Amino acid sequence: MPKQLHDNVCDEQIFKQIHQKYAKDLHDFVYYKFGAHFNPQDTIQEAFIKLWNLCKKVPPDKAKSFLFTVVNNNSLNEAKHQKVVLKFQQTKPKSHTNENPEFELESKQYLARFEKALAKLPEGQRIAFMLNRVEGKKHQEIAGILGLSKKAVEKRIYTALKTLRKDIKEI
Amino acid sequence: MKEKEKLIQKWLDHDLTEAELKSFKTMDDFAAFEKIDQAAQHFKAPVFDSHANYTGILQLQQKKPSTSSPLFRYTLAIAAVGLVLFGLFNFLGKDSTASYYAEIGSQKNISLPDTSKVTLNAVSTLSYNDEKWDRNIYLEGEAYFKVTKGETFSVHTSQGKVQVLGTQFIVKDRHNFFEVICYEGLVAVYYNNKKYKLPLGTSLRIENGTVERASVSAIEPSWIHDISIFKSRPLGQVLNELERQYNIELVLNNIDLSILFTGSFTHKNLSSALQSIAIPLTLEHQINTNKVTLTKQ
Repeated sequence: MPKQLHDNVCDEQIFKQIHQKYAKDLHDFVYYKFGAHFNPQDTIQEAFIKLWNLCKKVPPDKAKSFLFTVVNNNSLNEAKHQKVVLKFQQTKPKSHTNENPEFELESKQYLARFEKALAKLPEGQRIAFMLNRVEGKKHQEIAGILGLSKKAVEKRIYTALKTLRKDIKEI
Repeated sequence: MKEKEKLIQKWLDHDLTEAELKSFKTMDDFAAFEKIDQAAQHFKAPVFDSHANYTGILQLQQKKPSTSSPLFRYTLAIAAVGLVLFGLFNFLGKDSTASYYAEIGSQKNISLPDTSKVTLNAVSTLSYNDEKWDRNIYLEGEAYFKVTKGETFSVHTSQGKVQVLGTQFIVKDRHNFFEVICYEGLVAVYYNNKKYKLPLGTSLRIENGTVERASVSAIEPSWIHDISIFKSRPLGQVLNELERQYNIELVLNNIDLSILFTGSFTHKNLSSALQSIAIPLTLEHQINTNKVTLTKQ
């Protein structure tokens, strides 16, 4: 095993790099897992402050899993029993064109159904699916973020897609 | 079927070639997938401002960085302000030691950084290192401790050291008199390089170098309820305690301080406190503002 250049994250540069590397993923992870009640910003800052306070004990290659674990644990307590609601973004995606009112109504209903179906998905599937579809991440990247095998990620996303389709039809 | 699934998987992995995309688009399910994909975009996480988040961390960061690198400029500014305040306190004669003093006739309740509770009896001083809290307490006088479970908690006195993990006990360190009473758990007392273990309901008393153990039935010290109780104590000790509880000047006429006293006195009313001491010992007492005269009858 190659010896690591730094054996902890107490250096400001390293700490900053870790933040740049993982903050966005942590943010998305928390958001897609727990929904919009939550303030992912604060949760992430708390996790990084914890990392800094324990910086001597955490080698750089363990920082990622440290952060995800802290964020996850801290959020779990608060998010317990709360229904997941992903906020509907008022700003339309760029691909959206102007449609006639009838179509708009239909698509509003569709979105409402989608929202319900999305909230119903198991969180693991929802995170993987949203990271993939919305954040445009490849399976391999998601596997890295969630600490899963690529195969498991594929399965989660594929299952999520099928479940969503089925649920939307049924509702 | 297999082919179809493969295409979906590849689409999901953003990995379709032009040709594959074309054939994917001709699939029956394409419209449904496309719709789901479109809908998902509406639920995108809010924009994350990584820079602002990082700046926020620097601001929230309270502890001083542990390396000497030019870390956290924001905290430096705060630290500078802190230093000025700190200097000011130093100037006023305070330092990093947190120190508490209960005055004559008063008690003081203190919450330690580890949520342990201390009640200081009158004329007692307690101090600890505020900057580096390591569960070490310095005591002069008498105090009742309710220690939160955790690492070793030590009470240092001029006469001996008391160590516990988490329990309730009192330490009384007065002139030539050292007493520890354990109300809960187990307490270790170090005196003259010897270790004494006190289980709950027992006390250790060291007076003029002699060690004496006894059992105690009370569940907490009486003085937290504003009563001092004595069992076969020399009158001198009783009167010393009286002087700590009331701001008085004692004048003694022809009184033997070694005579033993069993009884109690209240901290709330000087007149009745004096009566509870004077009557059993057949002493006469006179109160003149804060000058108290005791005379042997």
